[in-house]
Formats: sequence, structure tokens, C-alpha cells
Amino acid sequence: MSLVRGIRSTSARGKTGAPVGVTFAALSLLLAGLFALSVMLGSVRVPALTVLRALFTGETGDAPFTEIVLLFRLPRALTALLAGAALAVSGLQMQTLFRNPLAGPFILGISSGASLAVAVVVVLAGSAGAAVSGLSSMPAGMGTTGAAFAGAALTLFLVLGLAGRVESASGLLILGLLLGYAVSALVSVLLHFSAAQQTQAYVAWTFGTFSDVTWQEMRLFAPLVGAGILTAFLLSKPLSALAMGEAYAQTVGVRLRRVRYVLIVSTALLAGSVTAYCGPIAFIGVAVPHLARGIVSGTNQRRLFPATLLLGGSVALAAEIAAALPGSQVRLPVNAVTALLGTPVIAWVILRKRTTGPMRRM
Amino acid sequence: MQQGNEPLLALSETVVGYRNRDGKRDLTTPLHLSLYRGEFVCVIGPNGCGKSTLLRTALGLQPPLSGSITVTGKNVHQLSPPERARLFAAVLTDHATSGRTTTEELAELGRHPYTGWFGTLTPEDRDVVESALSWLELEPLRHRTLDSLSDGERQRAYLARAVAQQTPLVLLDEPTAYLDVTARAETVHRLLRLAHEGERAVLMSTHDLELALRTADTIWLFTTEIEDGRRSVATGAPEDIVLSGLLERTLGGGEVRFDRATGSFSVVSETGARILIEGTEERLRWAARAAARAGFTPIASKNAAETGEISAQSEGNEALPPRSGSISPGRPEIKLSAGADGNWLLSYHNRNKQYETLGQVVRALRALRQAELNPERQ
Amino acid sequence: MTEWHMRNSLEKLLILLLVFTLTGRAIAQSGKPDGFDLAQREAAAARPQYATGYTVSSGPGYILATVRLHDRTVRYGLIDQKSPLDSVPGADVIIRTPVLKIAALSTTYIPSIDALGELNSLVAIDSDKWVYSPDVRNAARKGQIAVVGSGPSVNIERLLTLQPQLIMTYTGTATAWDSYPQLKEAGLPVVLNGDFLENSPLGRSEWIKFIGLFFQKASQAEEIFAGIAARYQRLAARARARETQPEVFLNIPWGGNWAMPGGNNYSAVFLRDAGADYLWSDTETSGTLFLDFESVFARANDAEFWLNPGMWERLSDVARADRRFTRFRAYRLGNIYNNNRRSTPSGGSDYFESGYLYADRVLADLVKIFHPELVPEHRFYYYRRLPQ
Repeated sequence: MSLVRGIRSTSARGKTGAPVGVTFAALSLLLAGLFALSVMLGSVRVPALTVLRALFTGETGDAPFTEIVLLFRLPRALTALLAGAALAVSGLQMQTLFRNPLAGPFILGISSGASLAVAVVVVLAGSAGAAVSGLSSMPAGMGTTGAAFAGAALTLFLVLGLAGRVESASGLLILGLLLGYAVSALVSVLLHFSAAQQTQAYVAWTFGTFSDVTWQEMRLFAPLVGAGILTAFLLSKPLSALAMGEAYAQTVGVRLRRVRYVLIVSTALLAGSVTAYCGPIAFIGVAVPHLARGIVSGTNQRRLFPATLLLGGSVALAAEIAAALPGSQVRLPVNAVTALLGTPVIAWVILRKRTTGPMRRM
Repeated sequence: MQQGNEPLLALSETVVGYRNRDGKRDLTTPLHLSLYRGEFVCVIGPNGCGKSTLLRTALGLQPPLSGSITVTGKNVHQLSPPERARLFAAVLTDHATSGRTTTEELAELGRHPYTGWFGTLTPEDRDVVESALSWLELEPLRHRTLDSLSDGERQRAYLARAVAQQTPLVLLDEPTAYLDVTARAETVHRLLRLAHEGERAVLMSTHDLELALRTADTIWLFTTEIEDGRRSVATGAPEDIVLSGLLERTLGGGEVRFDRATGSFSVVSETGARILIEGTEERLRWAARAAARAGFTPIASKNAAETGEISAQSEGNEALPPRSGSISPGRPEIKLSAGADGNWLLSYHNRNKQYETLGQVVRALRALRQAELNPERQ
Repeated sequence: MTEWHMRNSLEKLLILLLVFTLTGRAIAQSGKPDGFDLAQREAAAARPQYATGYTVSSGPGYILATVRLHDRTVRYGLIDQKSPLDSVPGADVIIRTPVLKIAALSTTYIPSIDALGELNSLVAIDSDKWVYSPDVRNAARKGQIAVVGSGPSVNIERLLTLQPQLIMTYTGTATAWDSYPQLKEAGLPVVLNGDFLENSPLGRSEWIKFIGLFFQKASQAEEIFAGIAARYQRLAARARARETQPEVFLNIPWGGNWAMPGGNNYSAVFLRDAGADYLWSDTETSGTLFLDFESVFARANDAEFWLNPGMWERLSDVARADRRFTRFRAYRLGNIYNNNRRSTPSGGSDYFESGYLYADRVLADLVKIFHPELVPEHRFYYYRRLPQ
């Protein structure tokens, strides 16, 4: 009950003019609707009723359809939902901490570290003569997932170590960016010396996908993302205070250093997990918080957080549906779709009318 | 009002300064300062003397170079940030707040030290916020974002947050900068009430000397440098500080003098040729100012002396020795009288001229000075 | 006197006969120059029956080999080393044959060079990592064969010092990944080989004849190829005639995409000739389809056979990669076969080397998978069944 009170303050209204409660109901409905749509649509035409029967009874009598819905579409939709929510929330945190509207979940270089690890594994593994007839795959036992995790974890420790020695948040931001650049350069070097099919394999990984998470992997993915979101949730309060700037936040009792550390860990959990299981998914982390701010007024995280969460999941599901190009057997890479959707949003952020005055509109 | 009880905030042998790559820099000598509940203190001093550093040190944002700072007996720098947040509220010069924050949200942030892990406000919290908003007359502005407010309104919003924080101490760093005259006066009076009626201890640093002298219970004045560029802090009631001459010594110098009569600083004239002013009360005072502005030293007439009003030369003030070439001392040869009809009469060398406004008088006086100083250019 | 005369006449007759025969031959041969005959014979031998990427013609003392790759056409004029000719009408590049030093920038040329007995002419290869041939690998290790890399970072300087008379390489549509433009610019004698673009297995194999031209061994190549083609056709005819054609699908997904060869792709032709029902043989393309896991599952989950699963070595690899693979019937039956039976630890695979040339062997492997009763004595050469 107190949570609801927290979300609504005295007759606050969102930007749309509707009471906050209505806004959240609408967002939840949107998310549910997109989730359902994602499960209904795909490259194989499965009648809607069959889908429902598969979902609720686990049986349709038509074996491939059951398996398609339960083994392919459902985990994919869930992955998109979790990944979108995770990235959006992480992006919101980064934007708040660094007071930068263009910050995103990968700004500390976490996904660069993961990419480097994946590139190393792909290049080292090599591929026996997959030269012309198809794409190579990972040798047995070594998943890109493991590699990505290792890379993300290493970057995390590096960043944590740096965070202790840096005074201000902007210093940390720059260090993270530099780390990202350095690592990307290393990846380029690796690829330069690899054969074409390995480069192809790596590039395929960078396209991003929600389809690679099976139920078995979900047993690790979902809790990781859940932990990350929970941690972010617990940071809502100090993050709200950080909207006033670091000096003021301290005077109302925020422990700056501790918050920074927890934030980095939370980002690693969220951004690292998503990168490990889905590849580096761009734009959602940067664009969705701005969408949320467009709907929910103010900078209070109590409202911004749930809005970002719901919108993040929705946007990812929408991207997944678009990427699936329902009806055709072809799939677009997820990153292509998110870029197409995300670019206008970010452009809008930069171009929208600024209020006059010295205050920053972030 | 100093109350005969324990100080809320006490600085003991505290040296305020900062550390950088080159080592540490002491800004002050060891200080002994106390702040009491219900007291409104203004900290004044020259630029760069360390006012902000003192405030930030007291707030626990940076450590003192030596000595200790205690609040109700507890050492400030051994407290955790949340504990400190229940003792101090701050209004700083740093306006890095996101412009999208609404007034209400900003005020609510004052309850941060008291709310639970999610930051939800209890009904009691809500009441505190409401009363803070209403005390600062911000209710109609509650849903407006900060970047849509005027400077004065924004300052009030920050103040509302500090009030909502319900701390025994409120520290403000230059809260009146950027505000217009009216807003400045309002802010300072609100702070005064906060201290007296709200029973807090309010400490504010400012450049607005006149307002500080007029309203503060106690002044903390950063003195001139005693040794190695370190200053001390003198405390006392504003009037005592003025009369002790400390103010002039600290803040004046060169061509800027502190005028005890008006309680303000002004640039002292070059020649100081004397002019006799006649008039009553207000008109006398402002005519004197006009004359001073024109470069003359005004002297009140017998009439004025009777009414006990000011004269430009008060006792104890160090008068400039008259420059050579100036109009001779003794009875002034120029006289300015305020006419009953609002006009002004300027008499010089037996010539009388009437002027409607003091502005015209000033122009005439200046021309006169030019003539006197440069006879060749007649 | 008559006996001696009779014997003398016989001897004289014999001698006359001998002389006539010899002169006759000499006259016959002196009618045209040596090179002309050779060119004609070689060109005839090299004429392709299955391959579509090259054509051959000849003229007096020269051979014109035209290679068509994507939208690029290059005409190579082959002239004998000792021939006084120095130009060939219509040729873009002149190559003197027989070539004594050749650089092969793709491992698929090595088996042909080897089969023609010209391994000693090999002076450089692109990479020792991908090569299967033990001889070549050893030679490379000992430094007898140089390793010059491929693609944009090919070692031009090394090639310039080695001075091969021929560098054989390929080119793609996006030349950024090729060595071809750079080699041309350096003025090196480059010849394009389009074997990888052939849609039919025999078409790919037939390029041994093209390679043979440069060693003046096209006839020998023809013989080798004829044998391969004959064995291939015989077996294919029998396999295609079988009643039941088991369903089969190929490859594995990567990053959400499953690259499935189209119906006219080289791999699809192989499967058809092996008497299998390739599930995507109804598509027109000779390239690759990019499908998603879901659609492949929908169509192939019941298929009996699964071939070419990337780099997997055992069934446990399959399960570990993605649990959903275990739902394929082919997995449950254990009918997953990979073509990496002959491979090196560094990643070389003979399937992509000699497999190009010995299409009959590959076919035999495939038939052994789908219709083992047709090839009872054949032992798997390139393919192996994935063990547990």
C-alpha cells in the first residue's frame, strides 16, 4: 500500500495529463499485449488458438506447433522482456548517475569487455573448413555466453578498481569510455588476423538475438536479471537524491561512494547478463529512459523506475516482433531494428524545444 | 538570540582549509566558534577568504585540517552521511539539479534521511513537506519544474527542501546571490524567522553586507590575514563589529571606505571639497549622498545638527586630509539647500542657481569641480 | 646365288619399309609445328562438360582459357615456354607453360596439383593452418613451401621474391576480402580459379583440367576426371533410383540464423544424387537461405538425417549447445554425420580440400549414409557419424 502511495503523490499527473495510476495500467497492458503478440507471431504460421492451447494446456496435438510455441517463442518473448527491462533500467541509472542524457548501460565498457572475450574465443576456436558452405559455430563446450560473462566480469573489476580512485562521476565516465575504445581496438586487431568465416561468426554475434536462450539457460538468465533489477530498485532512493547533484545528495544523506559501487555492480549484472545471452543490444538502454521521461513527469525514481521497466520490456518485444518479420522466413538482426527505432528517439531528445534558462533539462 | 545553553555547533581548534596535489593550505588559524539554537548568523569576509570552505567543512563535506567540529557533542566527521543529514540541511551555490525536477519533488527530497528504503513518504512526512511548501508560499508552484521557475522561486524551493529536512542546523552558502533586491530581503527575513520561530540555528554566508548587518544576530567576520595568509574569524553582534572598526580594516582599504553612518561602503572622493547641506531628515541624507557622489565632502548645517541627523563626517571616521589645491578648509563656500517646494538651491561664490532635481545638482557640482581643478580649461 | 639374292631382297624390303615408315612419320609430323598439336590436344582435353566457370579454346601454338567469376571475365593466353609467340589474340594475361613454380592461395587447388604429380612446383600456399595434405604441411613446416597469407594482408613482398610463374587464387564479389586486386597491382602473374562457384559437384571437380592446362597436363587431368565422373554418375544413378529417399537437413544455427543451402546449391545437388530428400530442395536459389531456428524446426524436426553440423564432434556437443536440438528426430536416432573425419588439429579439413576433386568419394560417403546397401565395401572417407 505504501508503495502505491509512493508512486502517487497528491493528485500528480503524468505528462499526458492522465493520473499516474492510469499511466501505469496502460503501460502494463501494452507490455502484456506485446508479449502475447510476440508469442503469436513468428516465421511459422501457428493459428492463434493453437498458441493459446499450447500456453495453457501444454498440448496441441500437433507436435511441432507445441514445441515451437513452448520451446521457441515463449522463451524468446520472455528473454526480450527481461533484456529490454534490464537494459532500460541500467540506462536510466547511468543517465542519472552521470547526469548525461546520452549515457547507456554500456558506457562503462562492460559490453566491450564481453565483446573482446567473444572475439577471442571465436578467433581462437577457428573453424575447420567452413569456408564456403556455411557459418561456423562454437566448438563444443565453449559457449559465447561463458566468454561474454568472463569478459564482462573482468571489465567490471577493472571499473570498480578505477571507481575507487576517481573523485567525480564524470571522471569515471571518461575512463569507462576510454576502456570501451581500447577494447574495441583490440577486437579489430583480432579480427584483422582472422579468417573471413571467423569474422563472419563474430559479426553475427554482434547482431544481437533474443532467440538463443533456452529454458535451461533461462534458469540462470532470469535470476541474474532479476537480481540486477532488484539492486537497481534499491538504488531508486539515492538516485532520486542524485538528481540534485552529488553535493546536495550528500547533504541529504547519500553515501556517494557506496552508491557508486552498488550501481556499477548492478550495471554489470544487467548489462553483462544481457550481453552474454543476447549479444550487445544497442539503443534500448539509451532511448527508453527518455521515452519514460516523456510520459512520467519529474525526476523521482519512484515513478521513473517502473515506467522505464515496463517500457523497456515493451520496446524490446516490439523490436523482436519487427525483427521476426512475421510470415517470412527471414529474420532481421535485433540490433538493426533497435537502431532504426532508437535513432529517431535520441534525435528527438536532442532536438526538442529547450526551455530558456540555465537549468539543464535532463 | 544566544541562549544560555549548549551550542548546537561548535568548532574547537578547527583549522579550515583544503588539500590539493601540492599539499595542504590552511585558510584559517585555529578557530573557536559556536552556534546556538535560535541564532541567525551571517558569515562575511572578502572573496576567497574561505567562507564556502568553512561551510563545507561544517557540513562534513570535507574534513578540517585540524581540530574538530562537533554537533550536540558528536564529532561531525565521525558521523555517517545519513546521521549528518538529520542534523544539517544545506543550501549551496551548486545548482546542478536537473531542471525537470518539480518543486514538490525537490521539497520531498528533504525527507530523504527519514524515509524507508524505497523513499516512500509517510503521512507525517507528507505533512512536513506540505507545511514547508506553504511556509515558503510555493503551493501554487508545486508541480512546476525547476527550470520554469524564476531565480527567487527556485531559491525558495531549495529552502523548502531544507526546511522539510527538519534539521536543527541550516547552513546556506551565498543564498542571496543572483536574487533581486526584493527577493534578497525576503529570503533573509525568512531565514531569520526560521531561526527564531522555527528554533533552528541558521548560518549563512553572504556578500550582502547591509542586509547582514541589519538582520543577523551574530556576525562571523573573516579578519585580515594574521600570519602566512591565514585569517581568523571574529564574532559579535553586527553593531559591535562595526563600531570596533574591524569591518573597515577587513573589508575596506584603498579608495573604498566603510561609512558607519550609512552602514555601507563607498568610494571616497578625491578632493573632498566641502559643501554645506541644509535640509531636513531624508532630503538632507540624500542630498549629502548626491554631493558625495559629485566628489564633495558634505557637512550638515546647524539645522541638521539639531535634528540629530547624519553628517557626512562623523567622529572617529578617518577623514581624508584635504588635497592641495582644493577649496580651503574653514567655512565651505558652497552650499546646497533643500527648498520647501522640492527644488534645490545651489549657492556658490555668491551666485545662486535653482535646480529641480538632485541629478542636475550633481552635474553642476561636477562641472564646478572640473573648473576648480583645471582653471586653464575655463 | 638365288638364296642370297632372295635373302637380300627380303632385307632390302624390310629396310625400305623401315625407311618409308620413318620418313612417312617425319613428313606427317613436319606438316605442323609441335606446339600447335599440343595446344589443340590440351584444349580439347580441358573442355568442360560440367563446369560453367571456364571455357577453353585454342589457336596456333596457344590456348585461350576464359574464366568467368561473378561478373568478371578474364582471358588467359597460355603459350609454351619455348614458343616464339608473345601474344594471344583476345587474351588479357599471358602465362607461359608449363609452370614450374606455382603459388596456390586456396587449399582446394592442392589436391589437383598433387594428382597431376606437380607437388614439387608448389612454392607457396596461403595458410598452413587450414591445409590438410600432410606432405604440404610438412614442407611448409620445413620452410620448403612459403606461407604468404591471403586476403588483404597477403605477403606481396614474399611472393615477389619467390617469383612464382603462376599464382592461383579466387575472388569474391566484395573484393575487400581478396588478395586478387593487390596481386594484380603488384604485377604478379595471377590466375583466377572459380571452382567454389560451381553448383555441381562434378563441376567443381572438373577444374583439375583447368589447372592441368598450366602444367601442359590437361590430358592427364582429363583421364583422372573421367574416372571420377564415371564412378560418380554410376553411383548417383543407382542411388536416385531407390524407392525411399530419407529426409535430411544441413548445418546449424548461429546467432539466431540458420544458413541452409538453397535447392540448387552444390550441397543440395550432392544430396539429391545420393538418393536423399533434402528438405529445402524446393527452393530455387544456388546460394544460401538464412532461416530462423523456428522455421527449420518446423520443417526438419522429423527428418531422419542431419549432416554437417558445424564443428560438432559428438552428440553431447549437440545437446550442450542448445537443449532444443535434442528434439530433432535425427538426434534421437543418432543420425548426425559430420564431414570432419579427416581434419587437422589446427582446423584443416580434407572435405574442403580433396573433397572438391574426389566428388565420387564424397558421394560414396553420402550413399553409405542414406543407402548403405549400395556400397557395402566402401568405408567412410570424409564423413563420420557423431558418437555419443
